[in-house]
Amino acid sequence: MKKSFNKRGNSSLDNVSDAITQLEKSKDFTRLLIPSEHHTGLCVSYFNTLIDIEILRRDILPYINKTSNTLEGVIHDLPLESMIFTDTPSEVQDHLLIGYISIMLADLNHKAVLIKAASKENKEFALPEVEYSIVGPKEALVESLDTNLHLIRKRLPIPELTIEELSVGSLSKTRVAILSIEGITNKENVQTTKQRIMDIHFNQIIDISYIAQMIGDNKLTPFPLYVDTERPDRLAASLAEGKVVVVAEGSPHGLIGPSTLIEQFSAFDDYFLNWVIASFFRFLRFFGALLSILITPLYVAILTYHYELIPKDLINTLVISRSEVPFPPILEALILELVIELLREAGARLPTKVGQTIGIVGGIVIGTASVEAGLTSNVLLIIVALSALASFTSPVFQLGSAIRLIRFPFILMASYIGLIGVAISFFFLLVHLLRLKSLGRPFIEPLFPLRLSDWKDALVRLPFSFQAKRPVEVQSENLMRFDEKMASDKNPVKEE
Amino acid sequence: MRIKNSLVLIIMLVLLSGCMGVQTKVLDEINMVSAVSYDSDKDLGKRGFKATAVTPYYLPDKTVKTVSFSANSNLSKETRDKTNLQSDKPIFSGKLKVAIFSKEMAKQHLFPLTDTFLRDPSIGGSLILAVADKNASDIITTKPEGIENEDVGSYLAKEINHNIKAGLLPKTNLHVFTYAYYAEGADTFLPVVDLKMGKPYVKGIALFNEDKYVYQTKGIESILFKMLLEHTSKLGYAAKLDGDLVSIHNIRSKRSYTIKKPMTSEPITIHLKVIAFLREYSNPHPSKNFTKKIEKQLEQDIEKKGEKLIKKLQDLDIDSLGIGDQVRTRTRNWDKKAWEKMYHTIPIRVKANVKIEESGVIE
Repeated sequence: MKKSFNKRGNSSLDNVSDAITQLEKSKDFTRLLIPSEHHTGLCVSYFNTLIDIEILRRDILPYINKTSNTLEGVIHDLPLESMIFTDTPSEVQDHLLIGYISIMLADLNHKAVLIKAASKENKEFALPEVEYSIVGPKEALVESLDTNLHLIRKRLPIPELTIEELSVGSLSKTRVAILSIEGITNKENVQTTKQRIMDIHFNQIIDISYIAQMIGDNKLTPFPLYVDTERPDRLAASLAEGKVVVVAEGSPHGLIGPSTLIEQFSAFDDYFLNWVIASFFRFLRFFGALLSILITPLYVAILTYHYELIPKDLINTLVISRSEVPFPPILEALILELVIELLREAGARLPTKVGQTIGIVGGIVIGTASVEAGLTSNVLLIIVALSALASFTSPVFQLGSAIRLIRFPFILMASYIGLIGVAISFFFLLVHLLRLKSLGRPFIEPLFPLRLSDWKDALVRLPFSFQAKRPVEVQSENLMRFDEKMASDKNPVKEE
Repeated sequence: MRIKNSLVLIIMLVLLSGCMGVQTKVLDEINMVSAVSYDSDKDLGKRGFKATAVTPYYLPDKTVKTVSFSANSNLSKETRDKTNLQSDKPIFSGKLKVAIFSKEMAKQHLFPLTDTFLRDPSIGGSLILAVADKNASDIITTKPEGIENEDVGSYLAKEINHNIKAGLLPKTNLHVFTYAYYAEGADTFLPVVDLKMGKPYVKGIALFNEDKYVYQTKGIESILFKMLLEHTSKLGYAAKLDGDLVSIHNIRSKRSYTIKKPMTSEPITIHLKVIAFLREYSNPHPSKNFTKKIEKQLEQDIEKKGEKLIKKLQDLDIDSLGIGDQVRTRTRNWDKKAWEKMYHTIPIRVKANVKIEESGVIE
């Protein structure tokens, strides 16, 4: 189990044809047989997500239809300058995976010609808008499945990366690809995903979010059970971690599963920054989520029932700010929460430029005006604005929405029986989270079940040297990411 | 089925929580009492009293007005019903900071009055109890001059707590008072407050026999009492040594007991380790080793005055320092009655060890 992954992958190859067969497991691998009248014909193979198909059509296919029956003849016929002639299986594989085309004789399978045909469409890709990060790559998935697969395969040029394709939707016939790495990803996870996607009976799959909702383990939960990301680098990193990735035609997002609640709080930036800073930011996000859920209910509960809890220096401010307000705290809070939600919704519906104006109008005009008119207290205004702000820190959009929604039952319970109500709501939330599963794996792992080894990348992100083991959550077939000993024994450059 | 179950659970939650009797107390729709006082009222019999409660009214310009309600009764909670009749909003006691008793009240049993504070779950153990030198209601109804944005209750609580941290008061609150009351071999004490120039000030420490006022410490006694009772920091002490005035500051003192043979007439020794800064010395031409000399003289001074204070307590037959409690912790079969009999006869010594850490900079 612990031996290095790459060596294991290539050692079993005896000849070039084995190398090709191994790659054929992926759905984006193509093998063309070109028959010939004089001999057995030629075999052209390539990854259609990695090469520029124009090169094949324009520069290769027209020339190899001639009568040459040896590879040397083929080389002679082709009007290309750089070709590799080899009989090493691993070399063939490695080159195919970075966008080469291999040509060999259909019967004599020991030698192959490798022609560079890598696609150069790199600069067409969109910038990530939802998960923009200041450091790190700025590539986002696009609406084309093939381009997306290319983006992922580019980051994982290994033969073990397998892509399975399904077609779902009786009308839309949407192509859905399930990505996994053989020998790392747990087969059960892949099978579950595949089974669930195959079980979808729906006429139209417009976006990957349809699939996320349909294959979810619990359809009543507001929490996203899979990470939805637009970053190909995050997808590739998740694959390497042992997770399953699903991408669909027409959707610029990918799904990652199994996922945990804590993973939803980790932005991909966390891995680009120093671990101390990243851990601090991650902590800030957890704090933000708790604050966002609890601060308005606490305000309502304390002002309605528990005046004893207010520090005596704060009473003055609170009483004065409340003295003009004609409503009880619950109504006041609900009105303001509703205003904020309206602003957010209006901002989301409007084009970006107008949306900014809405933010200013909402924040300054409505906020200050309602305080001056005596409709709400300014302390509550700060609290509600803070909780809205905090809910926007969640790196996964769906999670932020869930946090904003579950706040409302908390507020109602707080106004009903005070802090006990908040505690009861929290208890309900906790039970709900405990019951949640993502691809059948516990959703709030490593908190429960308590897996201390997974804490290295949970509430804090420890340095990469601590991350030698893959998370237990994914039940990977190969637990080790890298050789811990090799990594720690590594000698920095010695100066004489 | 699952939906049905959770529906039943939610309905039960809603219906049953109606039985909890939770009462809304919206912050700006209640009057929060910040201080109460008890003055005796002999018209209502021996235990009759006049209770006064003050509640702050917060005005929009951030100033605080204090409004007082008073009622005469025999029972503390009954007065609340009576004060409610005078108030525009319901009165709640969860923010009560200070309770002040007049000396007249303290001379009778005090504990029945504090009982209501212990029973009310909204009142915390940090409630400050104090004894008024004269009239208790005057202290809480007089708004301290120049203090605009604070009510009397929290001003008094701050003042007393500040004097506990850096002044002559030992730690005192409802919890400490109750502990000392129930402890075998310890008597209670409370701070004494009085009005001076329209402001409350801490005058000394009232010593109780169980819960009956007996004696009020004067001047240096309060400081010695605090040093002998607990570990202190930031205390000041002044003494006249050989005609020179010496004042030491920033005292950090530790006291420990040596009880060789508990429950016998063997002397009990209280060790005081005092580390301090010299801040004032009226001798303009001190000798070279004057700090050593001062240390020696201060030790003698503290020992003499301390022993005098303890003797006084023994004569009054009160054990405010909790010496009995110290003996109890060192005795296997503690006999409260026997201790009470022998308490005033046991010789108790004070052994001081003064160290002057810094004597100031003089060119």
